[in-house]
Amino acid sequence: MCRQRRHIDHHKMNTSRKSVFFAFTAACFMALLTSVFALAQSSPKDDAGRIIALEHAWNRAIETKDTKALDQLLAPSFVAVETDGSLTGKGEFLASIKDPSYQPAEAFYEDIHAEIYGDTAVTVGVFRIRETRKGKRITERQRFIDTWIRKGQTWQCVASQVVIIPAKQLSPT
Amino acid sequence: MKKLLIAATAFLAITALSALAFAQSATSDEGGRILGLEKAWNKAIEVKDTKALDQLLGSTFVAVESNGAQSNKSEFLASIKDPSYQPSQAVNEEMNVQVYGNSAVVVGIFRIKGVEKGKSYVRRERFIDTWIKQNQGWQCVASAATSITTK
Repeated sequence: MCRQRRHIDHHKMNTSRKSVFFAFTAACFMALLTSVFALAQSSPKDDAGRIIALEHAWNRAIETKDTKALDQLLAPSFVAVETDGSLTGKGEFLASIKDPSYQPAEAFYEDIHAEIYGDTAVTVGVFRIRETRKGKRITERQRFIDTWIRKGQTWQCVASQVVIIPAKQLSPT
Repeated sequence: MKKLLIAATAFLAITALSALAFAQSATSDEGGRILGLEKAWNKAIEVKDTKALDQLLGSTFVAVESNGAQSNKSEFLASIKDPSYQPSQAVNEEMNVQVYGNSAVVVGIFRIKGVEKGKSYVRRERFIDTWIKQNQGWQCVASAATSITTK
């Protein structure tokens, strides 16, 4: 009798433990599923917003010649193709911004669009810059393509290319 | 015990080095594949093979041309198909590929000879192409070209 009771208690306890275990597993699974679903649903849109914010931060860093901020935005393997077709690496790019003869007044996007491909993003748009280069005042409209790579919690630009939009080409797209 | 520890450390080191070598070799294989696709792109331009180009370019493909114009995949293919566009030679003088997992960035110099609207031309352009590995394999999703005006 005693043994049976004990047996019943043990069985009850097992059943209770099992129920708790199943409830906990089910809750964890549901939470995981919801998170994955939420991430899958919101991620590309959130990432696109994040990338565009980083592009705006890039412009602000140019305007204020903040090479420390640019250093964070650009990956070590960063490459840029300038409007004259020359190729620069990260070090040269930062040095050109630091150069005292380079005096940017205003840098902003007329148009920008981001496309997300998992851990890679491509932004395309029109960039307008007013600056003084070696004593010469310049206002340029440039079409650009930037490629960004996810690095942990943030993104870094690995490639950037700009092409001058001739003044007679009025349409932004 | 000491021998066992040394053996375990050696095993772990060999495994880590093998994994690293494998990862590097895989990256270099992918890089080689992408460069092969870049060459296939040039051949497709020379023979105006828009079917081959359709395979090479992603559906979201965007191009920024050396004149500052932007085109999507269908506009790009239509420009190649245009009878007034007659390329005779398309080559990459130099190319460098950087692979980032499922994406790759190719930087290089592209030289094209041809006739456009009855006028012959030779152009040298610096380009950056961005490739993405998707279900269909590697496809180019973005391409920008800037005329080289520096010596």
